[in-house]
Amino acid sequence: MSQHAVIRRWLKVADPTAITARETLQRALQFGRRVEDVERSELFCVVWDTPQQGAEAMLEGLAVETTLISNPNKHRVEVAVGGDAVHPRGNVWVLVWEPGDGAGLEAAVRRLGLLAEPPARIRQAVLWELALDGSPAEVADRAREIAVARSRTSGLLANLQYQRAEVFTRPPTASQIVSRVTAPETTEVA
Amino acid sequence: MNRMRTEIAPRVAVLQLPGVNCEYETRAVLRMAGLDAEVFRWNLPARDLESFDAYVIPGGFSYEDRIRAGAVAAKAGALDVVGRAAEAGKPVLGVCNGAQILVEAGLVPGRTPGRVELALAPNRGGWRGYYCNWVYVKVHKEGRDTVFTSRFEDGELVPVPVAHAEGRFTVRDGAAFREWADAGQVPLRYVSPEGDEEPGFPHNPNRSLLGAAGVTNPAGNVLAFMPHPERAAWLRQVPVSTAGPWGDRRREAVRDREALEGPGPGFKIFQSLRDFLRWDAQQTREER
Repeated sequence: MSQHAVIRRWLKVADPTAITARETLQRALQFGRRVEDVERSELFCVVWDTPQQGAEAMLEGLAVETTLISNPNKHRVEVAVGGDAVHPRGNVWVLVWEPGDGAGLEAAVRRLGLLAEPPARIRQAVLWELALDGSPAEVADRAREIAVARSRTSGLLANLQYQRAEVFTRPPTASQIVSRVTAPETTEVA
Repeated sequence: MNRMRTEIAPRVAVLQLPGVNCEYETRAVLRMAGLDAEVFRWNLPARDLESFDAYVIPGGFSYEDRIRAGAVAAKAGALDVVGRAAEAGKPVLGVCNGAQILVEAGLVPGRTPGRVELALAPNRGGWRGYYCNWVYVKVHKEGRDTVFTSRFEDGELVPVPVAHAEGRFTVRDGAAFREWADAGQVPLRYVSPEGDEEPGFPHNPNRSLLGAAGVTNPAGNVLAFMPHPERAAWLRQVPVSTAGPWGDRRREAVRDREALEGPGPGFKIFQSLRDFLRWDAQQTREER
């Protein structure tokens, strides 16, 4: 039985990419105040083929004590394992990933021997943390509209020609994130 | 002096979005080709763009490549004007970041204008991240000229530099991409210095589908081109180590200032554009 874990990393200071996304949504795509705020985290998804004792501590060590994944001067980090949810900001979340992205990091972690038990896979993704105005149903619909760039005037966060995206209306668990990001070529926007 | 209409050079806007960095050399090459080029800032009234005869979106890092390269600039009001102009048949050239913007704005491949049908994804296949080098592209006419390739011979090899991190033309439906290529929408493709098709890295620097370096819309008046022809517009810009006829020409021109200031391999893209704009102006006059 495999084990899934996620390292979530975000900037201590304001994230300029998130601010640009918010401005683009509010102004160019004319969402105005219906998009209240946008934040962003980078996710590192880890899969082991067998359950690991102390997985959380092991990944905190990887994230904090090496500078490969985070820089303590500018990043904050949380680790979630299995059915534990991450704790993102906002009220709806868009997971965006490119299948296969993170293979280079996986090779580096293995080559440098940074984990006692080398993971079967490491993949990367981005979690967009949206604060949207409206009822839960409106918020979910609007997040789907924002998630995928379909035309010059609609959508922004993912280009489905090479990326994949999924909207979560509750903070996703590590297993939910990892199962999407490491799945063989499948998922479209839910 | 009362200048005749025939003497007025076509006007080309070089769109200066925040973060682009090739606007002035692009303007210089357009002017060398005999075009009246000017840099147009993105925050000027977009309607002022309408009076131009053609548009070039230069290379650089618009909006610092945030979200995805070209994704934010594609939503700018200026792109609405450029999109409408493209649908009306005016030429639009996007170089490197400009190509990424045209793809994200749905102008290329433009099967359904305005729809995002293609991506310029991060480099893969031997190199991840930013890659900068001289490569070769081969001209594939597929029985037709585009606005930007009429000066080239079919099968001509063109040395030209690339400099990008997100330059891999890719699409979810690979069969569709091959159809577009068969229809002549992929007229510029990476090859080896000997002209071998669909090479691996480093000749295809990013694992682009079919070795695509440039993709057009169906009418051929919009070109998204990842290499930098403005950096290969003068012979002096060609490295002396370049293989093939352009390298021979460059080596023969050492210390020959006049020859070095002559056209380089990328200049034909701008000459082709000039030829089209002059022909188009002539047609317009005749219709009157």
